Amino acid sequence: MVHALERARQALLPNSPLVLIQPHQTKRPLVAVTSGRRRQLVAALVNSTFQPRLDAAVSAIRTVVDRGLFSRLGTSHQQFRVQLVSPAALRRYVNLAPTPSRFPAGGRQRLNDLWRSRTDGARIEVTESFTVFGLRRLGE
Amino acid sequence: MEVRLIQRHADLSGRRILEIGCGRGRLTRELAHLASSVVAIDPDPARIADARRLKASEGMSNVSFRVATAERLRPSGEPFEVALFSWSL
Repeated sequence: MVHALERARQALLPNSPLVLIQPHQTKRPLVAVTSGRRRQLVAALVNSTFQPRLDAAVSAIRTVVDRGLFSRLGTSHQQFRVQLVSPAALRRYVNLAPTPSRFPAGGRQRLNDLWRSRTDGARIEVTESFTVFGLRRLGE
Repeated sequence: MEVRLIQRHADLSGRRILEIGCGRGRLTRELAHLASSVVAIDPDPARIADARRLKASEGMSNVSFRVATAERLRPSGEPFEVALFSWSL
């Protein structure tokens, strides 16, 4: 990953920005069943394959800054919410990712239980958290 | 939303942009409206094929989609004024 950042640096004009959008390092996607103002948390999804890559990416950013290849312009944490109409729609949404997240033990059962007892207009809501890193290329 | 957040760190208007990890070109489409040019790369040939179809259907004349990884990127032509890793480092 450090190599990827070094390559990107070589392709950039000096003093130009490099922006990275990454899933949040620790906040996992949160699944809830919502209806009107009511929101019942189901579970945070887990992804044991992806987490080491995410940790490595954050470490790589730190490394290129420490080496003086880039300076930090800023970091911001953001969220967006996706409303889905059914467990099947949730499955399709989760499987869009190259390395799909999964429910922790008991999570799918809780979703099914809450969904069975839902009221009209209920939705499954996924809250995704991500981080935007702004860097600036240093040196010639 | 992503473009708005990116613009907190980088002015995209009229810039030569390198997008790394473009996937099927979802974000590229938005960048193309602002940038002077976009070179968008992804290691997956199937995703790039989809992105090229999107380019053809939407007339994104200032975008070039390529199968490549950041690690194998070779500087060629004018350097870029903005680089983006979109969900891809």
